[in-house]
Amino acid sequence: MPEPSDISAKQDVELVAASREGDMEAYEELVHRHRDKIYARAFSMVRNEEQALDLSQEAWIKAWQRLHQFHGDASFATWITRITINLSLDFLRKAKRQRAESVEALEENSGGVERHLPVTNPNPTARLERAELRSKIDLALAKLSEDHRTVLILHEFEELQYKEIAERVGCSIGTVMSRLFYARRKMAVAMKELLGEG
Amino acid sequence: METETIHRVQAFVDGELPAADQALVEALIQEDPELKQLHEELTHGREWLRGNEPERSVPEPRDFYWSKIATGIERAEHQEAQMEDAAHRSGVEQSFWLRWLLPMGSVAAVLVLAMLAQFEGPKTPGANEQKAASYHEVDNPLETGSLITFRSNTEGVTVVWITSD
Repeated sequence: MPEPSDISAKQDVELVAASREGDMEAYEELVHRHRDKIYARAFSMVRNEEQALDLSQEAWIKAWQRLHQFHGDASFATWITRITINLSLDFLRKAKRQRAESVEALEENSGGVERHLPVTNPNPTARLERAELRSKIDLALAKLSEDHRTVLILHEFEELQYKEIAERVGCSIGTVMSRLFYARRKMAVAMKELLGEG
Repeated sequence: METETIHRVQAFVDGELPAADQALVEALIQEDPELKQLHEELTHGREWLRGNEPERSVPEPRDFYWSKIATGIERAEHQEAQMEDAAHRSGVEQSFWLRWLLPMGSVAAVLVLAMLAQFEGPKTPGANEQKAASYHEVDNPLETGSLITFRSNTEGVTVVWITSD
């Protein structure tokens, strides 16, 4: 059995190969390496600590079951992040079905509201350290509706294209563009308030 | 400003505008101060958002977090094994029943048909004429000969003539 230090020195691809052979120790190392990123992404999307924990752990279980589907086209981190996103989207869809949408959300999603939001151009990078900026972005993200936050995260952090987002979320490209613009403006407004510029 | 224009400027900033439209939108941005302001807003917004995803650590110790995953994996594998086993057993049982039920069912069906054929309803006037009308022929020509089938439902008899050319 390899020493823990040997495992931690291995690259992700080697750990994935070992995990495929049933090596749980190798898989635990992968979990240890990427767990914060996976949890952070789940939290960004669902904004709930407990649910984010459950979703991130579910993602690791699913990933173990599907390791044979990982062909290394993208990095392992990207692959497991996509699994997390899909699980989070499923979770949000189920939660959405269980409650009625607010009138505000319906108006926002129907498009055309972009014109009613004022131009807002805060300058957070000039005043904040990176950690502080991230913390403020987190607070601003919390102010968005689920739909807007999801599109923004998929575009800005996951760097998906409009078409890919539309496919994953299950809406038109036009809706993606509308939600993205609205989310950006809302983020700018929220950031301005958080910076005390408002 | 029109929604479509806003979306085109946004697509320009995101690099999602078709190549053919890029020069046109760029020129519009340079000419129109309102579009220029929008372009700056979107470009700047992207700059401070991209690469600055909020970081968050798992609020559980490593071992505890992993133990739940390990348990989940074990449970999932156990369920998978059970399902495979159940599918296998169901297949074996199915083949066992099929092996016996299929011939038995076929025999039963033949018997029922034979009994129905033997059973005659109440005699009514004109019944014989109706029976006669139920006689029919099935012509079944072959390549090197001919085959004629004559079936009487009431008598329960089928006669086949085979003639060669």
